[in-house]
Amino acid sequence: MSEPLIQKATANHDPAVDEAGSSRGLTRGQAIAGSVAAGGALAAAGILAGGLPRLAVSKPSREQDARVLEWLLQVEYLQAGFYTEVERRGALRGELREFAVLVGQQERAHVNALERALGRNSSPKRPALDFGDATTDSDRFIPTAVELEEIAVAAFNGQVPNLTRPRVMTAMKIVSVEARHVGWARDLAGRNPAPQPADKPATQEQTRAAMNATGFIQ
Amino acid sequence: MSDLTLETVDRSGAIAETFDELTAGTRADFFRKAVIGGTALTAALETPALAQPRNTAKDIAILRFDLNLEYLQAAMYGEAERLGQIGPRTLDWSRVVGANERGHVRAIRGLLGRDAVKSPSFNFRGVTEDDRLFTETAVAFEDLTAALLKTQAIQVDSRHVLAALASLHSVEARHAAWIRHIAGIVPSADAFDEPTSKAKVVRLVDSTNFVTSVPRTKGRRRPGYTG
Amino acid sequence: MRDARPTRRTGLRAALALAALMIAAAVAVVFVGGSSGSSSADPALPPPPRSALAPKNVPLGPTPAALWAPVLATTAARTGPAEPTVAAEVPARTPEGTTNIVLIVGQTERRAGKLWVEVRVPGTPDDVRGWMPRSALGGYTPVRTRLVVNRERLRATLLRDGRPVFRAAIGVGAPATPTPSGDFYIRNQLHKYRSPFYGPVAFGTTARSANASDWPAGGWVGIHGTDLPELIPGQVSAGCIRMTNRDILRLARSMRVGTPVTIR
Repeated sequence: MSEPLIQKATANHDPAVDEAGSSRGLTRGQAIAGSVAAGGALAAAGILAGGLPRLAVSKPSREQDARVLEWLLQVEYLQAGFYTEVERRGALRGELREFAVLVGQQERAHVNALERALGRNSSPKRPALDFGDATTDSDRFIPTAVELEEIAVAAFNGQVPNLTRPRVMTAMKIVSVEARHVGWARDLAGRNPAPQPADKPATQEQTRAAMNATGFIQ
Repeated sequence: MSDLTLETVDRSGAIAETFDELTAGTRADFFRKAVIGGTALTAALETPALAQPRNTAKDIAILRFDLNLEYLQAAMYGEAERLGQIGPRTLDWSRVVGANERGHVRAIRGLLGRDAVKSPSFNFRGVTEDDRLFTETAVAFEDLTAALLKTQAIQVDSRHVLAALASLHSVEARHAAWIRHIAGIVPSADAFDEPTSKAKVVRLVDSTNFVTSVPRTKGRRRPGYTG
Repeated sequence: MRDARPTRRTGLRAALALAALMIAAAVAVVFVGGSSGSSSADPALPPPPRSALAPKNVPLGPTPAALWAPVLATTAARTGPAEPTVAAEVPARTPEGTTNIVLIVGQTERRAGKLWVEVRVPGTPDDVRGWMPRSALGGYTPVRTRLVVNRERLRATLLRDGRPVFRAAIGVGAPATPTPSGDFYIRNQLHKYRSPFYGPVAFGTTARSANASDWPAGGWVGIHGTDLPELIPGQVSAGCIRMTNRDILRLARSMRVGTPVTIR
């Protein structure tokens, strides 16, 4: 059955190394059937009584993988930029500092992994960032960290189904760590680290809006 | 994919038994309805439970394994909350995370529809009554669940199931970070969380001996009560 | 600061936000459709499939009436954790051959690396409290029901989460062999035996009828059906609680083993 595919995907641990070799996504027929049924579920839930037109069907492909990873890289740039500046300015103390340093290392590792996964042909633009005093004021730091990590978790969850299987693994190995960051940051802030049983996925538009709303992107 | 999952977790045969009961029941029920009305039958075939796309056998097996794992976690954290014998921070954790895991149980049962299995019986052997045991076990289960969901995410056939698993997966990672923080372990030790195999999770579940048979409290002997 | 987690309110707000989000997404699909309607040069990435479900937190539910555990091996219940004095011997089997069970009181202590649990076990004349090693017990099962037996009004009432769900007229012990009063629990359920006298179902309790001469330590009080329904209600038995076969079958549908029984 599909065992060989699975082994191939799991055997390659480094997300930067594994190439989306045997991307066997859904067949078009399956995907359309799925989207129609999903429309039915939505209508049944009473949100839209009249049913839905067919949703945009996205068949995972290597081309789409590249677009998704490029997009997720923008989210990682924002995070990595934030923690790197926190560390550089060195205003935080105690566990907040430990958190910023460790999480910063991990976000930079995510940036590297995504850049390498995209390969040499791609030249993603690094956004110009200005964090104001969010990187030096300990009262602003933690809420900002929570916000950025939440954006990342929702952004990744929204894109995971658009990826081919090897890239699903790449994304999940990262989002898992983003979710750990958010759990840790929320506990540090005295907020419930896991207020809901499921993390809402965000569309690209929603993530873009949330990133712009931070005011950090110039 | 095989049913290795169920059989290995299900040492006593309790799950298999209840599952057989369950499917036999629904099958019989289904046919009874089918005989009564032909239109009802076509409707039932076209719109299975919750109007979800029909799950493949592989997806059913994966979701059933997750359901059992969620049953275990929900039962363990719920029992800890009821007994109230663990420390205040861990108790707080078990309250919030227990509510989430019960939500996961409901969600996965919804995804499985009539293919859902019943909860096995558990014996937590003191883990729900001792702060240190509870914390260690919870860290192991949350870390492993998050790792297992990664493996399953690339195995499932349906992208609807994939999306659902992804949105549960990051919550398990939140749980893991939180309980690690309580335990004084680094919540996020590595830049990348590695996946784990089902076999490893089965080994963990087996090693805990949490899954147990249902005690025999019903009998057929002639009563010896005073009368 | 950690104790007041705004779980509920956050959950509600999140649910509302999600509903709004789903509608927004649906509308976006309706108007933008699958065509490249994005303003940027790149076509927008597709939204996630709808089955990205949004389950709610599920509360634990009402506090159970009791928790019970099976006895895995015949063990003595001690007067305290690791105390030498025995409060009661607790056999692994009941006289009816079923797995014996104890009620969990809710205290656990660690002594010399071993966990001890406070339990309620059958005693004479009343249930007694004692401590057993956690390892001698199986898993805990919550029960939501409680049975109240009123000897004066000759009535049994089953409460579920504190609300009455079953009521029946009963026969209790005759004046010479009264049904004992006190707090007990249901230990087992017998059925499919051949004895019309006990009706179709019989529950075993931890109560004992002291004056029943056939049993040296007092016979165990059962709750069962009868082949003499005309005697109900009344003070007619050797200590047991009887009800009509129709009522005992009804009771068996909602009362589980481990249910606490109060006889007054």
